Amino acid sequence: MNSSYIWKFLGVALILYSLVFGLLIPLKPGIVAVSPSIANGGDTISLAYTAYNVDYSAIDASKINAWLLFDEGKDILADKIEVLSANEANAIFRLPLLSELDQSVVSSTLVVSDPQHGYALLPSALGIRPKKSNGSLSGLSIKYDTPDVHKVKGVSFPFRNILQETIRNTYYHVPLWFSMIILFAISAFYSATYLRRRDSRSDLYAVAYAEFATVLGILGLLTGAIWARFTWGAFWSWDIKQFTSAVALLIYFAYFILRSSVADQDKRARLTSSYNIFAFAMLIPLLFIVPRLTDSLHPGNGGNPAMGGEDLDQTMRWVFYPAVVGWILLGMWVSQLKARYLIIQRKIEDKFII
Amino acid sequence: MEKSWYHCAMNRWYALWQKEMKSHWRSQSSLPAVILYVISTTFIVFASFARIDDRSWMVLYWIIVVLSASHAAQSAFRDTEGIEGWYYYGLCRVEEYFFAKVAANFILMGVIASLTFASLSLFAGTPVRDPLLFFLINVSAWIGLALLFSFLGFLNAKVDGQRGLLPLLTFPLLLPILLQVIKLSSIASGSITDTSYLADIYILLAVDALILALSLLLIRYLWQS
Repeated sequence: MNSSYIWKFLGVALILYSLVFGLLIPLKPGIVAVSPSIANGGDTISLAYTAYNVDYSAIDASKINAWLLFDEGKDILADKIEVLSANEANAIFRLPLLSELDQSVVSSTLVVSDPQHGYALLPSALGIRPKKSNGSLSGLSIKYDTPDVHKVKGVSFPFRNILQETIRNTYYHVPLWFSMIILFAISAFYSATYLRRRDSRSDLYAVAYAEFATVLGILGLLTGAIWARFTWGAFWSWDIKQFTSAVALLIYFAYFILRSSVADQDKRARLTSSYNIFAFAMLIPLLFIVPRLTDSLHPGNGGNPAMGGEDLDQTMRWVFYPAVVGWILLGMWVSQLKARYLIIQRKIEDKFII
Repeated sequence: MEKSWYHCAMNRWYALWQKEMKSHWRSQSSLPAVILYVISTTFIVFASFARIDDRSWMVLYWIIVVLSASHAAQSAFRDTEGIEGWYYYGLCRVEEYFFAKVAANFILMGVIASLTFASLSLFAGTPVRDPLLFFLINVSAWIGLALLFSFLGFLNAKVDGQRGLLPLLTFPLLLPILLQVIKLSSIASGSITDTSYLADIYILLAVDALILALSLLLIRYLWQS
């Protein structure tokens, strides 16, 4: 086997790897719902929560710890856990008065931990209204010692409350866009090569790369729309990022229409190469500068942080980066195949004309 | 004393620009057509909207300006093909020819924008609260639009028989300018309060500079070989 094939097989292997592991590795446990969401200081409440990715039927209820976490590491441990079903339980809390706090509502994070599944948390799970104390219940102040957080071994992806299982889309949506940008850049590079050397091969390579990059762009837009359906609430919400991405694709559709409307080969190559370079340079303000200054729901835009930190943990990096490399390599392979097809087609045409 | 290369180029550029302006002025169709285009578009807008709020006013203003400029740019490059094109090819460098067109288009943009502003103001009043900012936005937008329409108009003139291609090629590409300009105009009309609009103007000028650099780099490849 020719060694120049290796990168092609590597690309396919990396994509298969990202598909298999991206879909099969389980999520860490999480808490999806609690009720009630607000309570008064000094009350004893039964906080019903629904957990995700746990099986309480298999473990002893006394092994489960639950506590409410406040700022500065203060917490209240639950007195008792009552398991209701495989993923539902009640945590009984005797809430402190919190009379020393001068706030209308104190927000707390619910943390649930057990030795088998590990820990799960829900930020801002319970709001507590402090009650002005007469001193009689002073014993129920906030404790400062944190109970043991169970950590279980094994490979898993982080549980994020808005994303949940859609966090796996990071391995498909994001690499598709990365690959698209790289292929458009290669296409613009081939167009520049054409303008310098005037060889029709470079021009055909430029078209082939632009074509597959557009396919990847459409896939990126579709995966993005599906992701938006589950996290933003609608497939299409005219978010600036969705809008400019769609316009970027329109620019390349215009490129293909321009190609089809010039009959002469050399003139077509010359005009469309210029347009291709122009279009690629204009993608930079369109995709990377203008959306950052406008309100947007997309990570990395409109003041939102980009994915990173807790959203992209070590396990995810092990799937995400190979997926990026894999899609770029696959894109290059497909584009080169198309370019070679176009070159052969051109040779046959020339033979019949002459 | 021998004149410098730069001086010669500027002279040729100036002569070309004068010729452009004269041909715009003398042409039976170009300027009256643009005026008619602006006024009839404004009429259609007023027939459709009974009342226009400040934000819609600004959006409509820019849409009319862009549509009219696109219409005007289509006819501006008729002389690049055929015998006339060969004549200019022998006469001057393509950059001189192109920037004469850009300068003429810039002035045409100013005329179109003033006309649009006047006709919109006549019917709906003006929402502009900050005239200096509005003028600044306009000038930076005209530069970008004149460059973009000149480059792609030049390209479009080379495409045989497909005159309708220009809006298709330009509209997606002028979106970065249009988005910035509509946002800034809303600030100038007071419908958005934003004190840090200077960054937006810089971005607009940076986009202009990008289009300028690209046109300088690529225009020679559009000229017939």
